[in-house]
Amino acid sequence: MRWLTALALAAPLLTGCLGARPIGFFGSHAFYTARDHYRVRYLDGDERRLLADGWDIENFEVGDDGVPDVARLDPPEAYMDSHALSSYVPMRREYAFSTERVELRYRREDGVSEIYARSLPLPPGWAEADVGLAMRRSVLSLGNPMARAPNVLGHQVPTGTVVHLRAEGRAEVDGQPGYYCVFDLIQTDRRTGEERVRRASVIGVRSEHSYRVRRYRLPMMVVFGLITSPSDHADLRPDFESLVSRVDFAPRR
Amino acid sequence: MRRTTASLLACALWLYAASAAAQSGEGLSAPTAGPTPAPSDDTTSAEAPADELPDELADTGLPDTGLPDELADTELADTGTSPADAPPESVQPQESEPSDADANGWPMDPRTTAEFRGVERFLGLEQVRRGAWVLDDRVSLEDVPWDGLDPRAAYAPRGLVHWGIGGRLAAMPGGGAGLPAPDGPMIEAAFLLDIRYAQDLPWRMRLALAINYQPYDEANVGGGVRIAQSPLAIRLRVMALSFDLTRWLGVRIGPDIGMQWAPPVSGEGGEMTWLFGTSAEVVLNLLDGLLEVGLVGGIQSTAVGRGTRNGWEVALRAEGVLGATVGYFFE
Repeated sequence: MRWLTALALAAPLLTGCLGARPIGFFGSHAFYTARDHYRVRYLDGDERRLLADGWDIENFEVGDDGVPDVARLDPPEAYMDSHALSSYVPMRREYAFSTERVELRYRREDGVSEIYARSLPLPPGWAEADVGLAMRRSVLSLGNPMARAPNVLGHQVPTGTVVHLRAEGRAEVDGQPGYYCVFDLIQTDRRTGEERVRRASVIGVRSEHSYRVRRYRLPMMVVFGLITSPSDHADLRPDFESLVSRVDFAPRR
Repeated sequence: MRRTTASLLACALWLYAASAAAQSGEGLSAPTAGPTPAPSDDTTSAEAPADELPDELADTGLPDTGLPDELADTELADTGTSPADAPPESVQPQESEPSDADANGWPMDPRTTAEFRGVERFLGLEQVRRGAWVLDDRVSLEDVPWDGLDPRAAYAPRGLVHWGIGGRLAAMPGGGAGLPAPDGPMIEAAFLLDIRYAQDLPWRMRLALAINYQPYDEANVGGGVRIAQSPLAIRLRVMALSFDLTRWLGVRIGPDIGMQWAPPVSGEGGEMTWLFGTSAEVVLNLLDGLLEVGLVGGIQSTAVGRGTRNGWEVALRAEGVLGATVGYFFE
């Protein structure tokens, strides 16, 4: 009986320590998210590349064979985000859950430009809204922590960052309706007064799948983004379009 | 009385003056209960708070504080938006000059969104989608099949429910003194049903419907007592505590419940009786989880028929089970 008790107690511990948190994996034809709600097919067949030369994956360790292998989660503040579950579902006890900031993040050699994909749970007030409204409000709330808006960038945006929305409209990714916003993020150095400007193109698509946290199924939005300096934005847009065009959403199960 | 009359007259005069002032739009500052008069210009009530904000706050673009002027030239998708979520009139598209984004070659600028607004109104959403920024290379799931099994972290075999066949070969030590048959071997054949709760979860449920045979013999244990142990049993095994340790190793434990044949002794007696037991398995998952080979250990209650001068009776004796197990699942 002691052995049975020990086994029953050890099983959850053992199974919980089986490995790092899965974010996704690079399969034979595409990158698949661990939540299995979308994939991004490789650029050219079996070379297991999602983007052209000049882009390096940032949130995965690359194995000896050149294929991204294990998700990079350290430092946690760079790759993980924490939420209070009570913000999403009514519950008595407070429970914090963490989400990965991105499923994919590629960075250009210049260290500035990046292309990313992320999935984020939506709070109830946002879940019923049209994706365009949710995207617009999320973008305009960047840099304003009091807005409690979903972060569509996957980065912590410093408070006081100014958002200048330049273009927006409907988008369609793999046949799913979405909404895009092109905007500038303007940060001003308080001491020198210098402005740092980043231009971002972000496409949000409401997923038919749910974001599962414990036993709860939260509504989910999938966001693809390109962040560059304003001068490089037009040049790097084809890479971004190429990646997003190869996205397939999983059929609803 | 005069004072009261004078007070009433004064009140009446004050009320008359107040109503006259309210009709002319000046005078009383207290809110009135009647309908609010419509504004004389086109400014909606939603714009009023934004107008009162200082410029630097209005430029933050927060929805609650109104929207900056450049956003007023763009359109918001309205599919599924409830009237409560709809933007105020002040953010509805207006004709304007193209923004800087137009120079980057983006497919839509404020002027085009204004056009789509009209198209959407008359043709419906499907037509509007043609004007959206379409990012799709038109490769379907039929062209490249979905391969949602993580070869490194997911558990095999693919899928949540599998059936298969299996067997056990085990010694049966114990049982107390005087059992006529040797300690095994026990041979078992089983129909297996394996249920995994999720592809990325190590937890499973293993059900088995098994029939087993073990050596049978009859012996005289003295005092005119003869015993014979059960050769056959059919059992249902429910291994609810079942999980994978890594992709290669599986551990499970669960109870057996079934019926076994308690044999006659010297031609007398014989009946079906209950069987209880429990067993645990540690298996190696091979061939992507389709083949498993491992060790089994457990205990079961073996029926023993007992013939005495007074007749026949059945008793249950605990016997150990220690051996090997194998299973194969079909995709």
